[in-house]
Amino acid sequence: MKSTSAITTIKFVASSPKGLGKHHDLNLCRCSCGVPDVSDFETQLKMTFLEEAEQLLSDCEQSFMDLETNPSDKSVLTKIFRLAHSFKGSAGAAGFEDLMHLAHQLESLLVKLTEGKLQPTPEIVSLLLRANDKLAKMVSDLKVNPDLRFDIADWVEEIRDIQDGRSSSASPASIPSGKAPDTSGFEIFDEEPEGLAPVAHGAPLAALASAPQTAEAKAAVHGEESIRVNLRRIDKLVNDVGELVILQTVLYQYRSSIESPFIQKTIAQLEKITRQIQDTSMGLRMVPMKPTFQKMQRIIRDSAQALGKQIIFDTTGEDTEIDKTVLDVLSDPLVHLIRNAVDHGIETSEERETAGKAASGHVKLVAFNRGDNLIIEIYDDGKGLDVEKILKKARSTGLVGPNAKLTDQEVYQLIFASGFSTKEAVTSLSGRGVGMDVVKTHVAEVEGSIEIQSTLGKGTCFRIILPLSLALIDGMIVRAGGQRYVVPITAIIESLQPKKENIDFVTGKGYYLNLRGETLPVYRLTDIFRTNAETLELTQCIAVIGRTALGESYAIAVEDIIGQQQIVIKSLGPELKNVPGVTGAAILGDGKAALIIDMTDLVQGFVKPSSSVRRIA
Amino acid sequence: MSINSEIKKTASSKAASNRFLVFNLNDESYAVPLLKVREVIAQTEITPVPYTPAHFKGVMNLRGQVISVIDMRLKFKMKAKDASGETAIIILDLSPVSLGVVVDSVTSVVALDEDQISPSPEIESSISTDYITGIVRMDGKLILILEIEKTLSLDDLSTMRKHIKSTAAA
Repeated sequence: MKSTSAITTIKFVASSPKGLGKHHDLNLCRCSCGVPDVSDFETQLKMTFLEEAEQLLSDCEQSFMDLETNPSDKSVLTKIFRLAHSFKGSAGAAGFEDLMHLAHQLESLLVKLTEGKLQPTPEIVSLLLRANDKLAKMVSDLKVNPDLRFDIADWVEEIRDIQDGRSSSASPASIPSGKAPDTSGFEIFDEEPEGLAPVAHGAPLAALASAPQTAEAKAAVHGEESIRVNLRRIDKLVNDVGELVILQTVLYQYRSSIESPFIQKTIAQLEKITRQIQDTSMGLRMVPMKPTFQKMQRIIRDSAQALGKQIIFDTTGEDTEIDKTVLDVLSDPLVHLIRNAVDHGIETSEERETAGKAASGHVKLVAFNRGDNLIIEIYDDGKGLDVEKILKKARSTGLVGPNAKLTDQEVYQLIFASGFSTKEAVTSLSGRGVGMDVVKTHVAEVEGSIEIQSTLGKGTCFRIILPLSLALIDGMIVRAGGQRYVVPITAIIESLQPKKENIDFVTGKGYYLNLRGETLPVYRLTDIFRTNAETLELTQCIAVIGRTALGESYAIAVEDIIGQQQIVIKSLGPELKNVPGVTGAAILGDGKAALIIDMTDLVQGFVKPSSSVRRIA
Repeated sequence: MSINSEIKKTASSKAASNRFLVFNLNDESYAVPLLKVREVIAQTEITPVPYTPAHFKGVMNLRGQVISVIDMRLKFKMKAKDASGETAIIILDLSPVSLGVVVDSVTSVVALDEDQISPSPEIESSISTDYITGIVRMDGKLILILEIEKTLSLDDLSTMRKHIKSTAAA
């Protein structure tokens, strides 16, 4: 598992990928208006799933092997269960009913195993392995023809039989006994080199036999080919390119001191190609959230239909880019959270009307960058988390002592405990209590955290906060107290040099700027940072206007604006995690580090300190 | 820089555990295990960070990586000499963190056998003996061996976090 998470896939797409451009304005897209070309959208969805499925199945297979060597290990079973659950969910969302059906049967069998009602005998493990092979075969066939249907009745029956304790001597799949536990076929998979591997790598046994055909078919279907590259190599490349860009910037700045026009011209060309290399290398790891958002749209639609609920789905920020590895890890948690919002969050139309709400529930998925964090929020305007109910359940399962006093936040945290689900019935959508557990594990895996805000009767918001190991932003470089700072352009509404008649001083409060009739507080950056620098008159400063999340505008006075530049966000060490308003650092053209500041955070910390949000996970 | 080639050599050799990098702070000699040293660089421009204590010099760019820099002299409450051509920054590898420390000068790399190092020194030095794991007399000079993790431990870093909080809130 670890090695797979350290590997990313680069795609060389024949047609230029959409949505890779930088859009800082957030698009609001309504589900009801839909994606223009439904069939295109569905094909895309299906292909994305098939890619994912290969990985899930190969992970599953490895886990089955682990199970066989170590049948008493509960954690292996839990992991397989999660994988199967994810597989089932995604298959259903992509519209592959046969896959979902078979996976559902396997899941039920796995439940019995996790609950200890069945023992993972070699017979069961080999059935699981064979079923896994069957799924892999189905996936690889579906890649060639997504409309294929399969007859899986025999499989369903066999799995049911073994669950009920009947022997499966009349194995319908008629695979010679002993074949599945024979690991010789898997060793090839195990020995796979970490660096480069052929495309068809993800698919286990079945695909091994037909690997060349699969690869060809895939190329034909997608018009693209992928190679897997070790993430460390990409990181090294990106870092080196960063250095290259800095050196190039220096060279470019001093090109006028070179006499030869030929060399001057070469430097200018080098500049251009260097920027291209930088863009490409940055893009290697970043993908837009759009396909994921589309997948969620589908999940919402299907879940709502299955549950007979009316739901309006909004998304914002689908062009926000995310590190490919991070996205892969987050894909399942997002599905779970979205499902939860539909299943547990939003009430039925009748319930909503009784509660005086609109009949249709709202679910909203939002992604945006804040400082060096990527934030994904899932809102629903459903019934909210019921603190009492969660506590009761936690007490009944012994998760919490009978007399323990917990804050609301601590209670919310309980829903992330393994096997915790307040929903009584197990539906095909959710309720087995794996979801939130998965969410927490996965988010923690990419060093993110989750905040929950909830109001009973009003709704819930899950906020996933992710660090961006790599991110490119447009930054405004400003100077204050002799130091340069980078402010993300997206945070700036405007900047101006204030006129004397527009500045007021209020004793005990400070300066105010009158901006077209609106009165904004003005803070000097040097005052906020308590640098002992000489302060300029405000009329000689530049006021950078920003706005808090609540819509309150403010101005931060700096001495000068030096320029605008695309910058790479570099994270600071753990020792600097809590510096208010400082979210990272950037390396400027002269090779010196400059701090990236979050203006709103700064102002809020300056006006009213010690307002820190509690983080879970 | 020859010191850096020594560091490289050390990283690849197995008998490295007894080698130390010797440097000067306020005319006293100190040493750190060479295994903890990533490289030594000349004094470079450091960007100050607000709300940090005085010994925290700021952050610097080390070939694309942003690294925090601490002034050892201020950390040990010594007077910081003016920067000279000898002033150096030692980049320490305290996994997972890399940290730069400013010192007056870097002297040499020495190999020390265990029996050359006397433990628990009861001597007079500018710094708390808690940070010193041993002492060596060499060519008539005393070299104090620093327990660098302890000196720059994460405890210290969390103390710094508290400092940041209280300064920012003040």
